Amino acid sequence: MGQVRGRPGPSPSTTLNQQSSEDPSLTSKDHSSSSNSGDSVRNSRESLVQGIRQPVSQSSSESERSRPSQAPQVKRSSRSEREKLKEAHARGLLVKYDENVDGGYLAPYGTYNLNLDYQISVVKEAIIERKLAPFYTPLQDFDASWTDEDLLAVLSNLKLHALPHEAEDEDEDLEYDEASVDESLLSKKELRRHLSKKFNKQLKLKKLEWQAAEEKRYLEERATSRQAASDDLKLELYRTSVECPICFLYYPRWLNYSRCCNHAICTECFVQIKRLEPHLPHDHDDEGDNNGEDQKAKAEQDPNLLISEYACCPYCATPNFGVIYSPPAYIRTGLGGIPPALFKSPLKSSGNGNITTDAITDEEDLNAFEVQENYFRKASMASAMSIATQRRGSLPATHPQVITTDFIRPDWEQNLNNARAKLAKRAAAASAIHASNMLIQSNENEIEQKMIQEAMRLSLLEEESRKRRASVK
Amino acid sequence: MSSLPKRIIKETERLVSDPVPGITAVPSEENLRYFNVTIEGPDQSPYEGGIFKLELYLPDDYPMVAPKVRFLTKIYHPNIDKLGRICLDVLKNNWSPALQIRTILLSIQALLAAPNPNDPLANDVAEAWLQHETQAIETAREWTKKYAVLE
Repeated sequence: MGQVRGRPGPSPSTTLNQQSSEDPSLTSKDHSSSSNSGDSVRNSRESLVQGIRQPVSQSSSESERSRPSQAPQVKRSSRSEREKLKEAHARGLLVKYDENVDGGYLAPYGTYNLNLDYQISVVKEAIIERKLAPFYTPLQDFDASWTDEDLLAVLSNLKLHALPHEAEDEDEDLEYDEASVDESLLSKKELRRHLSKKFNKQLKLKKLEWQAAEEKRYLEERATSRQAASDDLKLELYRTSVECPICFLYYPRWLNYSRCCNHAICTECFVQIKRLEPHLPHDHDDEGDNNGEDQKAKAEQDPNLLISEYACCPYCATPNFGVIYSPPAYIRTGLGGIPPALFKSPLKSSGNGNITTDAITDEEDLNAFEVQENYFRKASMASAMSIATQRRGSLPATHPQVITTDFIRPDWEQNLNNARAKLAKRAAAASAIHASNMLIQSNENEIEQKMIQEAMRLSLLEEESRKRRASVK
Repeated sequence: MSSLPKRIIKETERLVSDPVPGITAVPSEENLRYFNVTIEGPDQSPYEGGIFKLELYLPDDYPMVAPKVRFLTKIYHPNIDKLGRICLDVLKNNWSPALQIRTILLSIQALLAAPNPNDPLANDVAEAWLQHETQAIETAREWTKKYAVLE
């Protein structure tokens, strides 16, 4: 195979005990710091995080959707259990305008239809903690010469979520034609596949309905809701939009940055990046490979040859891809901040804490202003300290601010074990067939032996009786 | 049918507005994910003077998976088989979504300049390359003249 210079070769394989020690369960953390956002936040942070937290084991059944051929797990959950988890996952991917962080959301816009099998609770938690950029609604185009009015006009036309045909990738689930299938003619295995595809399609359709309801709610409520972004916030975020180097869409300039080489990546592209399927070392995968079959045979003898490699940085190919995020220090809205409708640009206020509070009668709103002011003050001190702009060199994957691809998909190890178990099972089935063939053969031999012995015995008896008859004569 | 993602639109536009020397990539009218490609053989390589036609297809999950690329013009090269399939790491496991049509075609052009017979796709060609390099290079030159030079 040809190699492109400048990019390192295949990354070293990982063994199971090299897994990141980061604990994806953040349940024990205290979320009371969000109380400043007040009751007006439709879902308080605590209930939101509890609502979205799913058991870690979910991810393995979640990934079965994208890999229907996956090996059966040791303890297979029932169909209805799995369907419930899939439905919960689909709900977790809905973009809701009132679940927002610093003007972005907790679920992806929908630039990609595929590969959404990341652990939703882990990602939402990281966004709320400002360790990962929120999912900002992307701009398809951006021109720095636009006036504020132009920009606001573009922003007010944005939907919360893309329509399915606007995605980068085709959604095969939606294209399944279940009506053309006669269920009575299917084998057990085919029926299982069919029911799963049918369910996936129905779930996708339901998800479209749910998202449409969220869009409607947003349109109806955004003029009055305190959870809809103020014009100041929108302008502050999008005035200096930058292009994500992977999807080529425009986002507020506070993107995630690779821990290794400090390149920008939007959160929607980041959650797409994951380990390759378990494979053999130096696997030439599919086409045009003469030793592919040999490799497969080798793997059947020893399924532990299968490896799972770290996802690499898309920019510099460093293994164990991870990003860090430095939030804009003076924008702290939504979950863990002030209601986004109350955000005022620091340039427009006089800066020394003299924000006019005349119009504010609500004590809670007053409180919100104080929070924002605090942030302005902190921001002026901290703005130069941003990790992304200040750091030289790379950060280790274990750095507390780094979010790795393995951290948001902790099921990779389960997937590797499943792939190995599947191979082992196939190998066992193959040797069982071999053994039973041997057994049949040896049985045949034994019977043959017995028949010969019996024939000999009979012939001896015959001979003896012939001799007896002869001697009597 | 999905509408064309922004990334593909922008890549296509940039291929036109800022073309790569020695490389053309034109989307087909019926399918904007399918490109007709030509690559000029690099100078001082056995492919010099040839113009090689390729096809390039962007799968549905591009850019999370690599584009599919194949030579249409016959070529004598240890990493390209007789069906035109290319053995190049960045088209397989070393694909990165930060790569583009442009960079992939440049990598293929570089592969023409620097064949790698130690990791072959076309075993017979690679063997010839390792054992009788001068002769192999001569064959590559002849093939270039025969198949890749337009009359």
